[in-house]
Amino acid sequence: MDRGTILSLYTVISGWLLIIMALFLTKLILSSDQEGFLISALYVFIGLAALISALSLWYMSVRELFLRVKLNGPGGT
Amino acid sequence: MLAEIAIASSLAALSSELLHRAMIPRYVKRGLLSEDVHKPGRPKVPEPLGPAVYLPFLISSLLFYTLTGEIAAIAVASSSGLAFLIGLLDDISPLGPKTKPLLLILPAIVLIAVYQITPRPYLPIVGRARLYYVYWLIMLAIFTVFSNAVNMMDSLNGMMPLSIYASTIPLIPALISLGRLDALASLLILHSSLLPYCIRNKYPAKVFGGDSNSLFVGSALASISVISNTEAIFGIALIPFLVSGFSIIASVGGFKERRQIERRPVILNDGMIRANPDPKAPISLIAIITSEKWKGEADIVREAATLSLISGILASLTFFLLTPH
Repeated sequence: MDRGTILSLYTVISGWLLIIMALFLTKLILSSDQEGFLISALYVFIGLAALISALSLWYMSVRELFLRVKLNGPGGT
Repeated sequence: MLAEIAIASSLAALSSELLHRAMIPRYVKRGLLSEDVHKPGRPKVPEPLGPAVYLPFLISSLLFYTLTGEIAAIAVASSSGLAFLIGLLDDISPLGPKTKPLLLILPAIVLIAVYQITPRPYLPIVGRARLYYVYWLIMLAIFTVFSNAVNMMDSLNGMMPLSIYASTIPLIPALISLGRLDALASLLILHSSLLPYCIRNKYPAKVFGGDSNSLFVGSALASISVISNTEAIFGIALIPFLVSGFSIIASVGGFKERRQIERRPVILNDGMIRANPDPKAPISLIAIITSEKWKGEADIVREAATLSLISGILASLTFFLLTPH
């Protein structure tokens, strides 16, 4: 198993963890007793903001690892 | 209902096989061929074979409806049929990079019109959510994201159909446990319709499906997930597809047509593929897999299918162990 394969596995597993973490956050937000359209819209906005932030961090980590493996690989056929 | 599912699925596989046999010589005769750019000599293969996959799906869904009266099969076939037509239009005359994702929202509207959707998806950790306000916007996004992700995964021989099988077969127990046999029927009819194509598209490919095939498959999966309220579970199963699509879009800075992307994500050398060493080259799943060393097309497809299988199993485990229902 080479580093490219391990990196692709990392992207999938970390992507899954990201989804679970975002849903866990949603669960925490939804546990509040407040109701109403504005409140729920605010919660959705907060949830989306958290998801986008986490997605950006995830992409940056994947990109950094990808460049490190790509530029330091053995090369050649 | 299992007997009806078996009959419809058998008809889908049989009619797809017959259509492939009938269409391939006609495509060759009329010169409807595309270059296989990843192979030395760039051999030409018939494209697009999307109609040979969608039409059997439609016929079998109609049969299933006739036998059982389940409207879900018709709803999936009609919404994904629109995605098929958008894909066919794109095959004939390429659509703009921003027009295509926008058009792929339309199949969601067809599904809303044809089927009584319950906006209560099963979410891992959260349980069965009530998203009466925001669900419809999320649903539009699901359609365009799934369709484009499947489309972007259709880049190497057999990569899309094999990964679709690997990621969605583990979801069958989840659909059975929910009692959503209508959604299961559509999924199995889709699998059966894809089978003759998969056999011919695997390395070395003898046919290409084109956008008419990949957009139809992506839209069908979105429809199946929506009618069974398993959007999140399907989303997890399709993580390799989403990673591939998102990485390309993020690294090139938005939706761009293939011609507009200056640097290719991968480079070729005598049938071998490797990530483009240029640090500014876009990131794709294939580039990630080949980031360390040169790999053959068949090996990359095998790795992508294995990743999809892992995602599918992860999705199934998430449903059974982490989703309150």
